[in-house]
Amino acid sequence: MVQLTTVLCKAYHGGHSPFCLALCGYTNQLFYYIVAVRNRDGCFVEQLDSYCPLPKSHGERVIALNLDWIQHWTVCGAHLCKPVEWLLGLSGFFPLKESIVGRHPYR
Amino acid sequence: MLRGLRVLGSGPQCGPRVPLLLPVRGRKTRHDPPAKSKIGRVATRPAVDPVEFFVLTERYRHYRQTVRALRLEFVSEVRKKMYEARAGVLAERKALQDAAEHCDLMAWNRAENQRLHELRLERLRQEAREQEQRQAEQKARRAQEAQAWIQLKEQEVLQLQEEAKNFITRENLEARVEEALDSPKSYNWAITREGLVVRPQHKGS
Repeated sequence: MVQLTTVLCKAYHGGHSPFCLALCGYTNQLFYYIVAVRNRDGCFVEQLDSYCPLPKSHGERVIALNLDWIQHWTVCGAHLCKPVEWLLGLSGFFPLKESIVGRHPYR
Repeated sequence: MLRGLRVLGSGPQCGPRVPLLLPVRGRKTRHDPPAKSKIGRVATRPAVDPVEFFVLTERYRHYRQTVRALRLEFVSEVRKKMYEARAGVLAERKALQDAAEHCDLMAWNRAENQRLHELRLERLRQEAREQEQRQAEQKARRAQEAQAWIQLKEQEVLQLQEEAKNFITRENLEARVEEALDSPKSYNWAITREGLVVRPQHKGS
């Protein structure tokens, strides 16, 4: 999978390495990696192994999460950006974000 | 912001098509001043329902509290795992197993070294024996050569002694000269390149 850009989706969390979605993929074919980065706008993406293709394939959307490494980076002080909070809430690993702000406005 | 080139395809296409550059931001560009009707306009934020605001803040606080609790839980789990890996029961068992394996390997290593040492000694002894044998053979051969050399020289000496009996000395010089003159043997002949002997045709020359 060629990484075209690492345009990171969401807000800047001061200081620590946040979990963000990094946009990869081709034209009209989106694909996101969930990465732990040091700086939102820096090209330095540290690493994480979980990836998430958002567009529908066979009617559902598939997410692959590496819960051990997410736990490790949480211990190291990583914050979550909003899309990742949604996804991890839906997966059950973190509390549900839906319970706070209701259904997601775009989905 | 300009979205790039937009080619106007309306109307009959007469002549070469010239692409036009059109801004699509709205009716005004960023450098145009606001309209006169908007002079006293104060942009106000949308009103916030205090009840909803309170509910939302409480929910966010609860969410963040939960996330923080989860984070601390993960931290304690990781610390426990690290402690277990460093000083737990499994770590001790593994250390004992490693020590036992190390002892076994060292014993095997010593046995192997001993075996190789014995093989090496045997090989060195064999090489020493071969070396001695070679030296003895060499010595015998040299002695044999010396003996042959001595015999050859003795033969030469005896032959020379035999030949010396026919040498011409001052004592028998006159007798030998008379003998050579009286002998019928003629030395008056020549030899060609091909090896043919040429003698004189007439006598008395």
